[in-house]
Amino acid sequence: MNSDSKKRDGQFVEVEKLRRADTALRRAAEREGAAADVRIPHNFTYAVMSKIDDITVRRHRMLGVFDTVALVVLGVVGVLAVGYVLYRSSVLEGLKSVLAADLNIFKVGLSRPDILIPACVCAAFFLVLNRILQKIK
Amino acid sequence: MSGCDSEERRLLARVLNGHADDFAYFVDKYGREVFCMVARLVAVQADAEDISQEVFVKAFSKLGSNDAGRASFSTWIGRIAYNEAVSFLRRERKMLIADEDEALLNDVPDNAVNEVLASDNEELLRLVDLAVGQLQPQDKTLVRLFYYENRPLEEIAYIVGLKAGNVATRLCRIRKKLYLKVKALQNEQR
Repeated sequence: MNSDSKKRDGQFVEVEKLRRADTALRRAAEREGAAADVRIPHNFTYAVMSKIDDITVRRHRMLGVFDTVALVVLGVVGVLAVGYVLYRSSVLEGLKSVLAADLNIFKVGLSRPDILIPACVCAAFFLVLNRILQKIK
Repeated sequence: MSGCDSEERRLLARVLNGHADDFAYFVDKYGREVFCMVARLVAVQADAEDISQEVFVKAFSKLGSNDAGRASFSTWIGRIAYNEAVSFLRRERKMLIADEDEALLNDVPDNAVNEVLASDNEELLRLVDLAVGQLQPQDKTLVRLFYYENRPLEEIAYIVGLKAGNVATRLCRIRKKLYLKVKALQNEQR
């Protein structure tokens, strides 16, 4: 123990002794303390909890907005990434041709499955992502 | 929180898990304590009410923070209450300037202070009572926490945001201030 901490401990002991020794001051503090024990407003808890409810609702709203934004961003990125991988893949030649046709949707006349398959893939992706985000929340 | 009982710990965990309604237990239990501390510092009842509400809202927002785990809920919320009230006084420029000359305090002999503050003489008791009433709000808070609520120095230090050594020093200075006030009151009466 160095001299500073010894000195500090000594000071604490001295001050702790005062707590008992200062009779007049303790009595005055007790009187002052009792006088300051003002009555709390009857609707205090209700007022505080209303404010806390507001905060909670605001927090949930913000989380909802973040969720939606995250969902959209992830969805777009995901679809683009999957599309790109499939398009570049030599293994999935069939899908590649479908996606190639999909990219030329406005140029070439496409059959219904040519449009519906990628659309279903996108819808399924969004649904799964939505469920995952809801579980996380 | 380290100093909480098991029921409080359980409720705190529930609040942190999204059951905000359970926080009402803490508002009910500690509302009066917080309100009294704030009211003593800011004096105006309406201000005290607004600040006390903000104290609990702030506590709710900070519940998961590291700071919340350092002390019991009572001490932790006391610290928030003190800080909020002092910030309010600063904003409203109601902080009082030091009311005693520093040099004057250094000249006060310790044994004379001990004699007055340890006295059980009725007249001195009355004068000490008056002198405590004249103290600055922050000094009154320290006196109350130490002599009335019997809190340990470390806990008081945590509440008022000082080191325990500084609290001890401030208490010694407050005693000297009180001595000077008692002497001044005695002189007025003569």
